[in-house]
Amino acid sequence: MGVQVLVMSVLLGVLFNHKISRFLPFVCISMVTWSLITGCIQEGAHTFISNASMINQVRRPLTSYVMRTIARNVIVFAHSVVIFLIVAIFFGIYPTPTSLWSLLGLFLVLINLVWMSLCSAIVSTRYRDMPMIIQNVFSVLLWLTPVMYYPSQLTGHPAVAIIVQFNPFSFFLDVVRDPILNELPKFDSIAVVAACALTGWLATMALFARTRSRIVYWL
Amino acid sequence: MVPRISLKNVSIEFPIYDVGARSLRHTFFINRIKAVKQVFSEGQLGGLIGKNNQGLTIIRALSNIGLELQGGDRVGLVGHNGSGKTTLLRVLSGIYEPTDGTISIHGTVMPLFNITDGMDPDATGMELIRVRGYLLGLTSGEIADITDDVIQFCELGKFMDLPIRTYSAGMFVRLAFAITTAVTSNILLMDEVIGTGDAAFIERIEMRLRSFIDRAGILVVASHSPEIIRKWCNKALLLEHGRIVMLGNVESVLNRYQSLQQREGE
Repeated sequence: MGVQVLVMSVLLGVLFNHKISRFLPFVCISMVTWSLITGCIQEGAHTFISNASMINQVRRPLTSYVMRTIARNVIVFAHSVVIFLIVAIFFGIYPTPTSLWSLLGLFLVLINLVWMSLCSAIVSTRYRDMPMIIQNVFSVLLWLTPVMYYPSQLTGHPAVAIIVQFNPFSFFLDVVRDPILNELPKFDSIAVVAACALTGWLATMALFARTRSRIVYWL
Repeated sequence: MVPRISLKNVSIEFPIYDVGARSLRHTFFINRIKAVKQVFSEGQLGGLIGKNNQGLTIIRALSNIGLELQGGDRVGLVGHNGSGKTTLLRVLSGIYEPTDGTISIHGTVMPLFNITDGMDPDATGMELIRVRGYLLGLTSGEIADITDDVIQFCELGKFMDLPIRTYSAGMFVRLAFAITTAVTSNILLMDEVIGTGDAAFIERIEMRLRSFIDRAGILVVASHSPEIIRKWCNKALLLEHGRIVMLGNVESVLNRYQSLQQREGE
């Protein structure tokens, strides 16, 4: 991942004429956060399917398997964040009180990822083409989310800017990335991520309540 | 507490989704399902096969099971392949929630099914104790409490620190049985597991089970071996096509099962 980020950000930095000392840390934290998001949701799709033999042996809350997927991805995230720390120190970005907002951002993102992972697991167990669909959606979303370009680069392209603005994952990245790069988080971003968590959880709880007892029959 | 199991009119139906019905694309854009009357037919083996009112094929693995068990009951499940023994055990362990009917279970249930499933082959025996322990709902303190007992009981010695892929089937059974019975429970469910142990281990199993029986627990064993049923059970339950054919004392149920098999053989 380190090499990937390095090559990508240097290449894109040259193509876009960006200052590498600002662009490299930006791409680095974006990529690390993006992999956490996609990991939780894409692996989430396989949560029940790949744990089928355990689910068929012991009665355990199905959510414990979801939390396992989340935990694994958080551990991976903790490892790849080290890459960002090295990059940040190299380019002289040091933590300030503002950076602490990142923790809140990360917490809100994780709350969202749990319902997304659970939702993805439920639907994928019933419809087995779902993991492929999710995978494809995310390979498109990667380009519609400011991971490898600055959101500010979109000004002057209103059509694209609107799509990116309606993509909730843009805000997920914002709330983690902005503070860690020492910018105060935008209130709007935090509000969108929190609202997303609330509505997402309500919808997922309704779905889970309806399907919970059926999931084992679909395995 | 005296354990009690009560099943009223329990049915289990599995929807059998074909490739199309398992696809989101097909279900919402291509398939249009026609309503079909609900009919069930029985084959030679297995549960009842039918269609539900959406035209979906379903297997009725258990039909209208009524069963009352109390502490001290040791039930042997018999029946041909696919008669619903494993499904019934999974219902008793709470894995399958009944499609129809009600179930109430009082007591702590310890299931002992196919233990090798879902285990990382590179985990060591010691790690397996922890993983199984957590799966069975123990805390890390409780796992530490049973660890010595498990090691002593299964007699695996140095193998406990080796990856479980090096174990034989019998060694697995020893470890699995040791873990499951080390936990104090009063309902024990077993699916064809004791068969692979060697004679010396079977004796140890008997010791363990005897103390379990003294505590007036409920034991439910599915087995194709009449000896195991005769030895361990005071009741037997004959299943066919997911229905209870007979519940009663061991000898009469085994006789009935034998005559059923002979009739099918002719």
